[in-house]
Amino acid sequence: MINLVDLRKTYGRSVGLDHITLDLPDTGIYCLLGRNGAGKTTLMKLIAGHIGASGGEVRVNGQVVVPGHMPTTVNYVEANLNQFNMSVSSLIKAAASVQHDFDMDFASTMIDRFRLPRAKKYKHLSFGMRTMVTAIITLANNSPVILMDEPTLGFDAIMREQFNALLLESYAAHPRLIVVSTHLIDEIAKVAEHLVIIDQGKVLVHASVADLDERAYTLSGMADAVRPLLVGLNCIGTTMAGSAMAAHIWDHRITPPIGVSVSRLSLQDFFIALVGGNNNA
Amino acid sequence: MHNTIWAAARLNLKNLKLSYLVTGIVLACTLIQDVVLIILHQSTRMNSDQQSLGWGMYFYLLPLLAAVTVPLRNLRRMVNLGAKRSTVYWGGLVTYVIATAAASLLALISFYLYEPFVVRASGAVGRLSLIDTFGWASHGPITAFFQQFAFLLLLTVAIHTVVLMQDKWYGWVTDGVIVAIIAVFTPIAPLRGALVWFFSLIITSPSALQIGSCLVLTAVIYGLSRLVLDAKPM
Repeated sequence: MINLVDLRKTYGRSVGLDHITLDLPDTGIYCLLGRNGAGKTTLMKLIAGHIGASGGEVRVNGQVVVPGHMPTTVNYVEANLNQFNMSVSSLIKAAASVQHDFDMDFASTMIDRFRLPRAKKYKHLSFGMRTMVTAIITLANNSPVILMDEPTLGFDAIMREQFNALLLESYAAHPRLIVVSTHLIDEIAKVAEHLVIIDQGKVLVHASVADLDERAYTLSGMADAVRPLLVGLNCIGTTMAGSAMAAHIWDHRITPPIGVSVSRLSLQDFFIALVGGNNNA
Repeated sequence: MHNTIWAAARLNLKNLKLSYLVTGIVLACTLIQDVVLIILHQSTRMNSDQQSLGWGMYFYLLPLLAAVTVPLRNLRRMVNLGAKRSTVYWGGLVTYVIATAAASLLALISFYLYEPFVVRASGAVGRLSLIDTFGWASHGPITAFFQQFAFLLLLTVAIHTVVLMQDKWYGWVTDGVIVAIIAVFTPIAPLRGALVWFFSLIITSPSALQIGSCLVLTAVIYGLSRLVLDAKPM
């Protein structure tokens, strides 16, 4: 569905995206992870045709995306942006009127579920509520590709849980390709099926969450016992505590010898090990 | 597609508060001034020697200010609602056509009904109106409406396009070129002649030619604004 070929985006001398080639071929919920400034928003804007690429190509369902031809199959709304200062109800109706395939019933259900005050004007909403309105505007569209940029920014824990449930409900009702970029890593891990990690404009990992469960793990034990095992393995980070060592691995599973234990690496720990740059070995 | 364009136009028209407010305040102030002049004339029988701008001319502010508000404010908000660029583009044109038509109609009604009343009641020397100054009234009210509409629409889309490109280098170049044309062309007789020819074409030429040239230029300028819109990062 989405094909990025040697995609590049520069802002003057600064590189936003650096020759990215990536295929997101199937429906599913994709989690886009990256540090601040990694290029997540730039990537989403390029896919949606909100900005033009400096090089390479974006295709959605085979159609080349350029700003002059924003694909109608993609719906992307950036989080935390200015909206018309209308009541929540009017704003949702306005979104329904200017979008091509908007599910008003779903939007209405979400407004009730999140207890959004229908009559309250957008500027009078709390930060979390504004983000939710934007999330509804994005998710209620039945386009085959939905791009959500930080959809849970400013949500409290309950809202985040509700949002994840509704994301799954929406996906079950309309299976499609949903890309969610977020900083709340372990929360999205509950619903995402695929993972894309970008850093400094490059794709570091593109894998399924099941694949991650299998290939991302930690070897713990005495350093002398752990170090020999790392030969030939892709060790993405290590932590030392006295003579004990924990090595984070992104590679095939091995059967450790006695004295070395294997534990699951959480998505957050995996992400930090991969892009955090803290290697204490 | 057509539904989304109409929806975008409706949304634009609903969100021109600044245009409505400024136009409304100016109209109200001018109306108050007229009332004062009428009261003074009725009580003192003194004629005003002032020649002021006709009340209806201030309706022009509505489309002209809309041409600033739409690209600066509404365009981005429309995209934030999930509208595509093509929807925003065509919706903008429909907005301008409606706003310009409304302003032209109200200015025309004011010219034929309100201004003569004010001149009689206030004893004013006269009231300036482009409908009269440009000779559009001499072709009858219907032709005058279309002449005024075509000219105002051209002015509106020109402002829209210039405002739209202000965040790009070519926007500043365009500003410079416009200023340079006025500054350089005016003092030099042959170039001034070209300016006079151009303004005669879009203002005072025979009605069909004037309307036609304004609409063609409108189409060309609004077509160019599509290129600017497509290149605009959102």
